[in-house]
Amino acid sequence: MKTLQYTAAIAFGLSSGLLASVASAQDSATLKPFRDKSMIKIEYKAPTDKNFEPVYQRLKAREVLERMQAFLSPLRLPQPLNVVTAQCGGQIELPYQSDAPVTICYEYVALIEQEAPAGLGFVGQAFVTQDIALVGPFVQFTLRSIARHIIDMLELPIWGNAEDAADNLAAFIMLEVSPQVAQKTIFGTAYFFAKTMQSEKIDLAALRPHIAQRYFNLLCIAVGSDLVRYSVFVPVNREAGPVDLPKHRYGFCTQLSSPEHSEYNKIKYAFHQLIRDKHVDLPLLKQVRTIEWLADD
Amino acid sequence: MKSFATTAIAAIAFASLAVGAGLAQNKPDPSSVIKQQTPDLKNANVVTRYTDWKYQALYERVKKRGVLEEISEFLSPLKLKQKLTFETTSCGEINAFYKFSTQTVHLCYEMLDWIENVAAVSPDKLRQIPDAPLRGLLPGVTRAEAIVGAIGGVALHETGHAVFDIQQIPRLGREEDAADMVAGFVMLQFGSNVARVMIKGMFNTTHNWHAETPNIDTAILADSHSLGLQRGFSILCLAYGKEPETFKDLAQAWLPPARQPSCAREYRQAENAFRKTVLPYVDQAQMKKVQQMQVLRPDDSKL
Repeated sequence: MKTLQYTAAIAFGLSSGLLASVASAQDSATLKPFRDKSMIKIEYKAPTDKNFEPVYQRLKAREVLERMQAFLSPLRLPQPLNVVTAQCGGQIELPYQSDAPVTICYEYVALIEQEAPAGLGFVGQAFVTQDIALVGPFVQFTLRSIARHIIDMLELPIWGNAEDAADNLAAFIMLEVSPQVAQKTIFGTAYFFAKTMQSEKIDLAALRPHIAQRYFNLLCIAVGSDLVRYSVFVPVNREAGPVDLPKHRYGFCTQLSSPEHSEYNKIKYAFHQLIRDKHVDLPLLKQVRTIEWLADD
Repeated sequence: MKSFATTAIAAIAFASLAVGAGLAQNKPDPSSVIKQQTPDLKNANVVTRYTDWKYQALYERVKKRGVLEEISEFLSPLKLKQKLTFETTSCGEINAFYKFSTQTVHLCYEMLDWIENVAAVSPDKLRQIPDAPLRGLLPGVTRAEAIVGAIGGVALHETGHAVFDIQQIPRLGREEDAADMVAGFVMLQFGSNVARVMIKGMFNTTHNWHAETPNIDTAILADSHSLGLQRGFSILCLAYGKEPETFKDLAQAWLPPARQPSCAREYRQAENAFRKTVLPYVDQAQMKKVQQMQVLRPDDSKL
């Protein structure tokens, strides 16, 4: 049913916003040395549906995957990880398979575009620009999809749901790149999740948690990382709205009396123990962090 | 692989089973009262404490049974970095929790009482919530299974939190789901019979959690815990993933088909996490001694 909607959204234009914003890091020449060292291999697959042709062409032209490839170049993997953009037969996402490439579906990109506000949007009491609403969920989806594969490739010990672990890793990375990237990607993803949570059917047996649960997990990690920056999601001295972190949750998120037990710091600790200290080229990471990612055009 | 699994966290699992067995007694039975403590199975880093008199009957049964002392025995192979306290207490709410500031697992009498008087009771004897799934025993689950599995599962879950915290075990998934995975994994390490009792009892518990909060709103979805049935499906999926034949009937009855194909992978994930993060802290020689202990006793099936 949704296929038509996504196709229509594509047809009416995945206009400049998303692709321009994602592509606005650095020029190709700057990124080439990073890309050459990256274990991420990329490919843009041509769609069979002509409606997706403009998206395909724009993604390619904007070198979105090349930038992700450069960004993730410090990651040391036992073998290359293939990341592709592709048409997914009407699905917004392909079922996870550890031996399949990471696939970013044109249909998912279309949904992001469809849900983005024409001008200013809101998630709870937070303002979100169209730019943020487009960039955030795209980056989150790409990072979490890559993270899900890396979990298996590195045989990381995961206690809890691996789908949540992938979301958590994506959120943590988004928060760590820079305050600007964090704000843009967290608010944008929150906006997208909040917009789509109402329409997602609740399936308690599904491996992946409901999008509302993922939304609150994201906020929880963000608030734990920087309570002031993300305080707009915390209903203090006001009535809680439906997309605010409820009181019964945000105490766990912040753990003000013992911050090391906040959800953010648990993930930070796990990231350091399991990934950063073992699978990251730290000097290269230092260089990558000097680049201004997701800068406005 | 099997050896580590069997060996590994028996410490924790046996303990919780013992708790269940003990509480399930309506009257202290001298013949089934805790066997003599084995000195070399004590864990010097496990402290036990019975507190509170509000639930006098429960208090006495638990204490007489010596269930917390058994926890210390069962945890003896685990090389804990710091002291861990287990305490039965009254909490003013139906709950069980691990408090990291004091490194204490609190098993609340209210929770034990709820298990005995709601989750392990025939639905026709309970006041039901309109338009909600029936509270009480699921078809095919006995009262004994409900009590042993529930208390064992809850104790294992809280012990999971404690072990994560004290041993500084990294977890990338959600804390509460991670603790559930510990509980589910450990339940499956003591043979098929024990596993079936535990899984059935724990699934029955999660069903009852769901039955008590049937309306799913954003506040519930925002909780740090997954929803009751989500937790039940995940634990049952681990079991089905490990032993498809043993749990085929339960999966057919309770686990939607769409989830079943991922269960083997989910179990392998838990096994991998255990091997890499918990097993290094297990004393294998000590574990062999714990393995000689009886997990479920004859009395446990006659509750």
